[in-house]
Amino acid sequence: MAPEGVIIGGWSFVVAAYVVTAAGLVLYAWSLRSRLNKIQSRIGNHERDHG
Amino acid sequence: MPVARPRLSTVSGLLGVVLLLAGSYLGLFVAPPERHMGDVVRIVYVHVPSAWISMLCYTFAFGFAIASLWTRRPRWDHLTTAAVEVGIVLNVLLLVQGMLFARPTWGIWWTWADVRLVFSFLMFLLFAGVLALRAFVDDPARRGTWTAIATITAFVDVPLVYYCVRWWRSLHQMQSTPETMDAAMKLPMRINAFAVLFLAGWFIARRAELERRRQEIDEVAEPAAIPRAGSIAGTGVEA
Repeated sequence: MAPEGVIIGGWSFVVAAYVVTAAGLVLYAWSLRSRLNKIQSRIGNHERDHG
Repeated sequence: MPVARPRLSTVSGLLGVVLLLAGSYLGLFVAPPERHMGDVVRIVYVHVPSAWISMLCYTFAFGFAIASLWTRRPRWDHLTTAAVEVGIVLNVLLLVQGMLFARPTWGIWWTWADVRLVFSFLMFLLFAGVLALRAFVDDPARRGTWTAIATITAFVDVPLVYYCVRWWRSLHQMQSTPETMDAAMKLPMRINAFAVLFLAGWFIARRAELERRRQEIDEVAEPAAIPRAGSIAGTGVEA
């Protein structure tokens, strides 16, 4: 029997916290990359159209 | 054939990823369970670094905002925006991680009666407001000034978030010190703190670059743009 006042288990919360952290960081990195690619293609289009 | 040298920000990002993997492995599988919280304590190895580096990003933003007002150089405005945005990302993470930590330890996901929680949420709202305000201003000079002023104003909440647990009664525990932590717990905490710091450095550099390119293309494209009613094209000056 576990001693009183000690939290038993809770691994689902731990896993959720690490998954949320990883997902948040990866999604932000992906969003940055995607926005940079978009602006780069705008620059490319502008240079092509206006020399 | 010339060999391209990796940029410092890329090295910082890669280092951040490697350190985060190492720190998370130690935090999840090597560090011991805490006496009262058991395995749930492993959440602090991502929660605390997110909180520290989020506040550090806002502190950088505060410094960049002052430099932006002082020098009026666009570079500082780009860095201010980048640091605010990265701070917001980490702020959101710390709020979600905090709720996941609160449920098994306090028995609740959230309470409006706790100063640390309320000030942390307010910090998110204030800095999100900075980016929202920025989106409404077209003229780059005026946008830079408003961004800097709003960032400096929003920063008032950051010391409140840090010190509120000492100044007022709070469910949230006070800051731990290295003396109050087991050595096996200090290591994953420190590794993850540096990991998030290096990742934040990478993100800020990339986000500032995005802002710089955005302004470049706006400046080039602006003469061809149709002037808005009541303004002189390309100047941002109201007629």
